[in-house]
Amino acid sequence: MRRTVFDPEHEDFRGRVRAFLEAAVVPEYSDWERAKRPPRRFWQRAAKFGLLGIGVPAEFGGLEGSNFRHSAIVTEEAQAAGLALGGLRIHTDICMPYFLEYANRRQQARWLPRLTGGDAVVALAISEPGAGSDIKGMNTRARREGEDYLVSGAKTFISNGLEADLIILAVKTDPEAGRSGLSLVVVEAPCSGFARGRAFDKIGQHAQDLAELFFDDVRVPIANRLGDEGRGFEYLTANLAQERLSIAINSQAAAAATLAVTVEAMRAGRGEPAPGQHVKFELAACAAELSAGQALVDTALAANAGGELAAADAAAVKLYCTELQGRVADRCLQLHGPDGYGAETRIGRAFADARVSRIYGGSSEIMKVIVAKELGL
Amino acid sequence: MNFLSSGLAALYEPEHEDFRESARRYLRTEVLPQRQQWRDAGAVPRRLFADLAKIGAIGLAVGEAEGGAAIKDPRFRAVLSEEAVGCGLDGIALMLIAHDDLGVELLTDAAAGPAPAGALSGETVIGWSPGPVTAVADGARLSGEVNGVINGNLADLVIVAARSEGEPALFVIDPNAEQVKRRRSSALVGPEPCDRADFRFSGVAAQRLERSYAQARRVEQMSIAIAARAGARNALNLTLAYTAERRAFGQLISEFENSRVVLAELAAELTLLDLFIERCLRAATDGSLTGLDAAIAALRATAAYRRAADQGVQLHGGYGYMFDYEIAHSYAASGFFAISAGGSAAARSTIAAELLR
Ligand SMILES: Cc1cc2nc3c(=O)[nH]c(=O)nc-3n(C[C@H](O)[C@H](O)[C@H](O)COP(=O)(O)OP(=O)(O)OC[C@H]3O[C@@H](n4cnc5c(N)ncnc54)[C@H](O)[C@@H]3O)c2cc1C
Repeated sequence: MRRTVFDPEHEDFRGRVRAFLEAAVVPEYSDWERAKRPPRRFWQRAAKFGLLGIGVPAEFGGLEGSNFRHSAIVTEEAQAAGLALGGLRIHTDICMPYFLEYANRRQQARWLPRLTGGDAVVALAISEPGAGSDIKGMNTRARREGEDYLVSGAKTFISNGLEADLIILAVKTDPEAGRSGLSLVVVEAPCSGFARGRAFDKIGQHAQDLAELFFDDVRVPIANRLGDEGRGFEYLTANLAQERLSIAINSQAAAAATLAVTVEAMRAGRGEPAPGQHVKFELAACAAELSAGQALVDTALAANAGGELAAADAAAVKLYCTELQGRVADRCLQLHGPDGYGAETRIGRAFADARVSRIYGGSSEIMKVIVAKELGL
Repeated sequence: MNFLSSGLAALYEPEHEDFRESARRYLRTEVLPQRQQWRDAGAVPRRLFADLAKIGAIGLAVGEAEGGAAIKDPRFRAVLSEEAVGCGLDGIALMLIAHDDLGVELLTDAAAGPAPAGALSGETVIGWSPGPVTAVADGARLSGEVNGVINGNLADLVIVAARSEGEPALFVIDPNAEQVKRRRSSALVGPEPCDRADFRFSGVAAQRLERSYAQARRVEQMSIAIAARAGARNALNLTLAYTAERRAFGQLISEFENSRVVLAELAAELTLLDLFIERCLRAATDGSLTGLDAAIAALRATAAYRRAADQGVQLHGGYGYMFDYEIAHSYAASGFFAISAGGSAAARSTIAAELLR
């Protein structure tokens, strides 16, 4: 079905992004997977193209006239090429808004040019070994000492964790105050008392850098705090809507690509037998579901562009599209047979990558908690 | 309670349980510690088979009369598979199925004579190609491409299905023959480690087996069903243990009503599955297992494994996606069972063919 959420200039951008990914990422993606992260060179190339400046004002090195829909295009094109660029989405879709919305002018002038220029990679560290779904249960402490906070604690499953130069860190500034005891500070790595763990060995998403981070009395200037003390939870919650939309777009695009690859593989070549009815029906069912998912994503994208994407709506979109991705990956895999299950085949990757979407950024269960609350239950 | 230890208990005699003990000890202390290294290397050492033979884990498919190590009793194979898959060695279980359940069994019978020399001591390794039938036989010569041959790199003999005058039949080839090219298959999402190789051959000499392709399919489907059933149980056990320890929002994960619904559904499904697997194993013991039942077992058990591993990962949260946690290995492996030749597509067509005969 025809999509109406993009303007002609978005489509022009799409073509250029496609060419960029084909040239800069596709040839080396397997190397990224082996290294378990993109090389620094990628961030610099992405910066040069303008990808790291999406939505950022030009004075800070941003890409003129760009917005979140440009990010959506990057995600869609990456998935269409079989690339899961989670680290890039963390940088542009998930972390950048914190700097744009909660950093003061001085902080922006210091950090944004490095972020848009590919000189600094950024991570958002919320989850802890003992606190995932339950953000308020976190234990990383920031105590004031003079002009600094002294930060101690551990974070886990941090995307871009090994590469990050700037880490937006959720800390407890007041452990007694529940959600109003949370604050966000920016840690500039490397620094004394800060250490990174090993790269995780995970089912999929092999090109995405994921690590544990450790803080042992790390000195972080109070001037590095984003926004007000005690309002961290509020900031996190406000930004989660776009974060979840970003995941939904990624899942929808991944599922669409999985279907396209499968259709291509099943289509009879010259002299080959036509696919059977079961194959056709499975693919037709996937296509119908994907149309529904796309309509949902596009409605949410339009709402987001108008600044009116409600938290519960974003949760519903994330829930629907990530579950859709799981179903499509599973159904398509069944049609491919054992050859499709290679760790470096399109379908094998799609299946393995898909599994995490229902977990990170708030699990499906947490999305249902949010939607149920919105229903008044 | 450990859910895995219940289930088929009624089926097993003390000698099966004794064998279980020694197989478990060996797999967990000698094999599992090497899993990571073998996975990284992408290769399994050949001595695995000889070592397993020493604990009586090879030759389980053939009776003493044919030179086998055991009385002909598929329950021993089931126990071995349960123990291998039950500790996250799904790939090793597949290798044992290929060598023993299929290889030794198909190459040994009253007509064909004793098992191939060295096969029962693990000195000779047998490979099995589970893929779709792509090779073609021209008299006693085979040509074609066959991917993902299990034990393919280690094998001294490989059983290949090929079309002979249009019908699938079984052949054995020498993988070292000069008309054969083999190379290591690329790694799977799971299960790893598992020795697999891709073969190309043209005009290689082949010996045709007495056993029919349908017979081999039946054995394969039953073996896959047993392994997948054990995988599903293992996934549920891992999840029960994890959710009974992990907390969120001041509660154990196992205390959320949603978790309980998920776990209850899985337990119900797996309990019913066991009744059917038990019936099949009894039938296999007295030689009356039908192709229809083996196919139904494979279809249901592989689907149950997929579901149990998928839900298990979900209830583990982010940890479920990490190979530091056993459920991740289960998940990666579960995807393979359903699509391997003993899996759903072949099973459904066997069932439909039987129904509509
Ligand atoms: C690849 C990857 C990348 C990630 N990147 C980041 C990152 O960059 N930054 C970051 O901070 N975090 C990141 N995470 C962490 C991720 O957000 C958490 O894994 C996720 O929030 C779940 O938390 P948990 O793993 O602790 O699971 P838990 O919270 O322990 O949950 C376990 C299970 O219990 C269920 N559950 C929890 N609460 C309830 C409830 N109230 N009702 C019913 N069921 C419930 C969950 O849905 C889940 O099924 C990442 C994770 C992964 C795997």
